Amino acid sequence: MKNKMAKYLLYILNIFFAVIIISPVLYCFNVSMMTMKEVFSGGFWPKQLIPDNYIKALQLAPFFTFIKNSLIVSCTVTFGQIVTGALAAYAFSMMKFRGRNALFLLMLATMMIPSQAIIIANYLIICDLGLKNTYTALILPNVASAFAVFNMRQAFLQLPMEIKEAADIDGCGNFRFFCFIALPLVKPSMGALGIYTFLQSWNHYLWPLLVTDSVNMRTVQIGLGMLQGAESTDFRPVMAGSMIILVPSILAFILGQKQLISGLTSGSVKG
Amino acid sequence: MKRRKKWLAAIMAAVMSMTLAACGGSATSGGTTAAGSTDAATTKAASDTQAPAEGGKTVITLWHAMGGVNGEATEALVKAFNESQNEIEVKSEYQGKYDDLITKLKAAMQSGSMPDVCQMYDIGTKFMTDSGHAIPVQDMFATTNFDPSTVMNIITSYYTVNGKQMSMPFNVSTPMLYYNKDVFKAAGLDPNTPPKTFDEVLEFSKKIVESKAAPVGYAQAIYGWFFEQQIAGQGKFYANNENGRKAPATEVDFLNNGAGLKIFETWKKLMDSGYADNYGSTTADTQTAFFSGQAAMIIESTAILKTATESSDFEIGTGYLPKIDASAADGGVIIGGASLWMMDNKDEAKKNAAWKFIEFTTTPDSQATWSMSTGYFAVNPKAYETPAMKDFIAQNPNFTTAINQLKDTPVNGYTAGVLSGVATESRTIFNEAMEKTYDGTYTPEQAVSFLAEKVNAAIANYNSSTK
Repeated sequence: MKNKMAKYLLYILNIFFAVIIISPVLYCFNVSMMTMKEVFSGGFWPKQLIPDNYIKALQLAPFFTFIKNSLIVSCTVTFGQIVTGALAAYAFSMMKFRGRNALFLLMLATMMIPSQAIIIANYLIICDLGLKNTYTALILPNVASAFAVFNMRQAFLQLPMEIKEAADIDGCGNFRFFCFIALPLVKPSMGALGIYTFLQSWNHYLWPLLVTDSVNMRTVQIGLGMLQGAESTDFRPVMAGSMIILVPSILAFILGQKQLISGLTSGSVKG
Repeated sequence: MKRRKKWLAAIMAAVMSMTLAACGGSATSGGTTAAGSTDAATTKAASDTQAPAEGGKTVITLWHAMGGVNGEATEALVKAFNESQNEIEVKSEYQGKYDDLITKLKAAMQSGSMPDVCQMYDIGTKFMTDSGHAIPVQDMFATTNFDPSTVMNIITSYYTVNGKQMSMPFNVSTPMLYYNKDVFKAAGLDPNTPPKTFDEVLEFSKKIVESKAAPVGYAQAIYGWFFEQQIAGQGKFYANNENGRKAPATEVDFLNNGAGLKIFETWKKLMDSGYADNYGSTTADTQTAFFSGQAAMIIESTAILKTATESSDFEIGTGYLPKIDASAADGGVIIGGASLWMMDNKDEAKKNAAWKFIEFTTTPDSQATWSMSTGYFAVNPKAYETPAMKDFIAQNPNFTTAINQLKDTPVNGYTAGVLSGVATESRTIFNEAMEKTYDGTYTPEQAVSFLAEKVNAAIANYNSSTK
């Protein structure tokens, strides 16, 4: 009985916090359905469900092209960061070689450099390489990150050393151990890193703006910028645009979350 | 064998770390430009910026910062130009908001990939002039016998440096007073008589709040632009050397001439009365307070008139920007907005093409269409005589207030506004000074000296870096 009470209380609390968290998104959707005067009349709910603002948003900025570009870029960046991060982290955590710690610290130090400080330098390099206005330019500088290596290293360090020793005794090489034993065990970390990286890449604004010029190479966040005026903004298309670009990031989260849970439930060493 | 593996690992880790440091290394698959299925205007802007010529046409690039309806109007203007002749093709590219655009242009100046025409906001004028990458538009007037009086003098004066017009005004606005006529009626005020001075603003606000017609009488965003406007409104200079237009400014003038103190005192008094309120430095928040009927009067750009009319559930009235000192005859408003600059890409054909496009933007028809669809001023007075524009003004009498205010403003050094390389920084410092005055940390005197000291330091820093 007491247990049941606690359960219900937990549910009520959960619902309460869920409502708080979801209300801005809900309001965003509501505004995207409102008429101009409704927005400022103070109501929370729209009086009608109309697609006008979505049509307007799509007129002002080709969001489907932007979503395609952002998907290409974000997926590649996520894949790249997981691959490079896992490989480097494996070396940093499971292998012993001279200068390992120094190299790791050097790499960590790059996290201290604010991205704004190097963005112009990166831009000039991309220009020199003749890569302006290409997907490569959008992807390349983000394909590896110190954070990904750090994050994956923490995951590998969590694995009991006994697994590695057992593998060594059985004659299992590093690459095989990495692919078939270590990686499946760090799936939750890969999932978390994947979600984080995808969302970060999805939200990039300044870098895509710098290295692309033409409308059909642009990404979603620039699309939102295209809806805003200099002196005043009609917020309804902006909210409609936000709703449109929200869908892929929610999907990414759902997909990543599955990985998270399946990884958490897979066991390793007995006892 | 084991040793080799260790080395492999070391190399692997080293390669990973190096990829992080910069974006060197081997490139992955080359990106391709995918064809978008959007409207004609956007697909035109698709291919490479550096495209030399298409079918004998001179192709030039325009960078702009116009989003939303203004972005649509810009595309329409470019399209109209491209269809008006068959020698030049303008490719317009949106490059983010004003601040993003200037960042991108600075990077492009370094990498040598500048556009041929670039829009730049008012406060970027000094930077553009000092960059050395711009061709003054006045140098091009003779090539097409362009009459400088095509564009209103009060507008070009802002973009004139050392007697030379540097750029062509594109989107122009000034601040003005917006008020809620319904609230005025409810408070027993004449809905057709807006306040002219800040004394009247206070008096009207008191009536509005005390009659409970609206919870807040007056509001204005904490925005350095309004401070600059009130200095010009008193017929005073912001900075020395005639607002930095005779020679580069070396220090602010508003401290010595007393204009700054008067502004801080007036606004502080208004806020302390309890009849006015402060919604912070985001102009959209003050707009929201007005549109929703909470604040009865606000100061805003003339460019938001269209949005204001469409957003508000009440009748909107407009008036001239209230003055601090009603007797200042030399005072007036300063124009804001942005202008079109010609970038020097050392290409004669592109230079001439760029000028022809800029000249096209000033024709009465271009300006009338532009003004009607955006709410900015038409820079060419003849635009107001076109039938379409006459109809538009008849339907939007509030727009007349904006035009008349500009026409009534004397053309002089005060209303030309300050030419400063540190305008953005100064406005940020102003925000701090104003906030600290409102919350009582600083007295108006302290706030003005704080502001003057910080801005002077910024000016000195800028001057030493450009020498």
